Amino acid sequence: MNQVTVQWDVIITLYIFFSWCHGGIMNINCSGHIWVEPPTIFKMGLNISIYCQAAIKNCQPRKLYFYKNGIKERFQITRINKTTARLWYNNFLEPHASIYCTAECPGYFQETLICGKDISSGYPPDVPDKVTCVIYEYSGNMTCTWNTGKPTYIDTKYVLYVKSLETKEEQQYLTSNYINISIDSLRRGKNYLVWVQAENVLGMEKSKQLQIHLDDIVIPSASIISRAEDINTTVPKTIIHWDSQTKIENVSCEMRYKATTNQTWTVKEFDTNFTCTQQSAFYLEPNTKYVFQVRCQETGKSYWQPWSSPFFHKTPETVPQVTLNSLQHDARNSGPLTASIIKGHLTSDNRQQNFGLSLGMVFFAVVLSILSLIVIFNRSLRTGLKRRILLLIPKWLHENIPNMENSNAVKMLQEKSELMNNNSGEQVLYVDPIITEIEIFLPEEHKPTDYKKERNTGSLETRECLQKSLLTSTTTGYIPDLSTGYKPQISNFLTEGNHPSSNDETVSSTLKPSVDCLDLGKNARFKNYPNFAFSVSSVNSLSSTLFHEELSLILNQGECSPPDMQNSIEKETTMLLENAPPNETEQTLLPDEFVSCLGIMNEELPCVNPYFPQNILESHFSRISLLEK
Amino acid sequence: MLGSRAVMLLLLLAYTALGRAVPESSSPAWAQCQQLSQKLCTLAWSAHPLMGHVDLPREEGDDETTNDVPHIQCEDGCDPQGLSDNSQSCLERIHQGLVFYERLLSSDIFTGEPSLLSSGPVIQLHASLLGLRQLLQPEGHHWETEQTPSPSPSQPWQRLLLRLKILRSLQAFVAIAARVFAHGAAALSP
Repeated sequence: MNQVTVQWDVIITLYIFFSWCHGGIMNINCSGHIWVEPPTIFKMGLNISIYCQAAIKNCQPRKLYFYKNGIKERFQITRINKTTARLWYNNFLEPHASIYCTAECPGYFQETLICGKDISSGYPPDVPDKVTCVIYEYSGNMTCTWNTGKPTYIDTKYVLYVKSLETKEEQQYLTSNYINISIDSLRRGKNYLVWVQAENVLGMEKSKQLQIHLDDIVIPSASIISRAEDINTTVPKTIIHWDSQTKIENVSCEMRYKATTNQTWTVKEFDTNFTCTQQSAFYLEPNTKYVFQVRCQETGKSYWQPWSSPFFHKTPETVPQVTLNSLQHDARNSGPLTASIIKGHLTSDNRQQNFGLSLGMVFFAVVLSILSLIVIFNRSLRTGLKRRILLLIPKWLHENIPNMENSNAVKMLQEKSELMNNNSGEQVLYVDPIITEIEIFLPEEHKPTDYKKERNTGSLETRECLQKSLLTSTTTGYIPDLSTGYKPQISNFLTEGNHPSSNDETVSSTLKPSVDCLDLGKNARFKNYPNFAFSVSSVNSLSSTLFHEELSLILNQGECSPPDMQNSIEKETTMLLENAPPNETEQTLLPDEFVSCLGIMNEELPCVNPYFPQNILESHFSRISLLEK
Repeated sequence: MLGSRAVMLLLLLAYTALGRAVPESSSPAWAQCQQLSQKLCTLAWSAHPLMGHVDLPREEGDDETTNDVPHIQCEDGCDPQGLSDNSQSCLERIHQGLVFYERLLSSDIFTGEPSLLSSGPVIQLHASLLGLRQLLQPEGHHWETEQTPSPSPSQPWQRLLLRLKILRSLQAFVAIAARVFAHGAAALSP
């Protein structure tokens, strides 16, 4: 009890000591003065001097130190007199820095704070340019933006001036780099002069004046592409549906589109009246992903909407019909994709496009007919020539086949060939015989079908992943019938995945490998298995090798003699095989007890583990720790 | 001489009355408080390096500074015997300290420029302080906390030093608080 009380007193004493040392934790006491030349906000890139003057009672400072952002400065410090020092910076480029200085007082281990200062550097503002004022339909505001130029790094104010040209009244709006002015405050006519003034401690600049008329700066309500529709006509086309809530009657719009793999936009312009949803048809490449965007402006005015958010659409995969091939080909080769706008009934633009299409078709028909005429003409010419030649040469020369009337032999041959042709025609009509399933009848006890299935499954699985363990393959439905003499091809499982070539004897049985794995004499094989996974991730390879030795030791020292051990392991493995979930991803070749042991090794003291005798585990873990060291 | 004794006696009585004013029945969840205060200890120490590797200089007149920090002092009865007799005054003092540091951690000292290397630990620290305070003061139980002074606006160069000072003070405070709750959990839990 006394000891507790003493400890308590010590803690309280320490606490009070801490509290006293840092009594005023919400404020800082300065013991001197710090100042900057030029003043604390200066143009970036200047050379600056920071002076520190100590005024500490009963302290003649041995040294004066400067700290910038908490880091002690080692260079460019000059002691001016007993109480004052100067820190010099050449070409200071930091936007902000916190400086404080301290003094080394005799008799104090800690430095004593003198005072501190924040310094800032930056630039005077650039002349604001690209002043733009627009009124987004329905917003109720006039939004003005401008380009501020390069960053100033210091606090800079922008003032927007709005002067009515009718009443000459001037309004000022303080802001940063844009402002929304309520339309209600612009009731002094429709013509205004607008300009921006930028100002900070380093300078002041004014923009050019912009003259605006409130009716000219309205931007229609945003246009939105709502959906795309693919129509499978003779020439497949895609219809883009889009709309806007605008009430402005005369609106000019642009729709741009491109294949996502392409860089170049194709822009289609058109005049629109948004009384109902717009539909634009496009003849696009099949099986291609396109992006569409639309924007509008009041016809004849200067400000466009921003482009609508991208709308992506992939055209369907089409199988071109043979009859349409040439037409589609022509359409594709004719350069940019053609588009037409449909809106309930045909618009003037639509008619213009259809007229062009008709013209093209007429032209194509004319060309086709001319070509046909040429071909016809050539054929008649050729026929004429042929006729003339035939008149000149003997008849037998132009006979395609010998005349049967002229030769008995030919007649006979012809009859024979006809007969043969008839026969061969019959043969051609024969259909291939149906290949029926070959059934092999074998004695039942061998179960060849099962055998095949198991082999196939096993080999596939082992090819896929070694980690799809013995457990999984076994739980998928094969329990070896030992009476038949069949043993599953676990050899595949073990031999694939860079297994050592020396373990041929492990190939034959399901259970044997796990027995071998735990066999003391062969546990070197374990560390060679690259895909072997413990359930405890932190066991490293070194300790794992040792661990397997130790596991065997543990087992040997436990209840099991080596043959018993084999049996018990077999039992354990069988249990694992039966209990293992089918989707087990990580393979554990060890029985649960060992896994638990591994888990405990990393989490708890070994002596609390009831599984093994403490002395064995303790020696085991001490050996591991020794090796790790 | 007699008069001063009388004054002392009066003060003592007043203090005792104040202590008694706290309901005896409302015992905190000592085990939870212990866990949270230990977490607070860890967080207070882990937040310290985030303030940068600044050596905190001494300030002249530290010894004479009027201390505005709520201290756990002997008369708060935070020693084992005091806790066994009446834990309420000690808990009230701890509560007062928690409110104080909570306010500091959410002030511009920690939220302003220069920004912290990582604000996560300070946010966690603040949340844990709040959690412990709520554990100490269940609903319907109102402690008359003194009006803790709000920190005055600080300049960035001052914040570098103030953060360190506050964290050091908080470390000491939560160390004591953790000890109190550890004792409470071991000896005073029902």
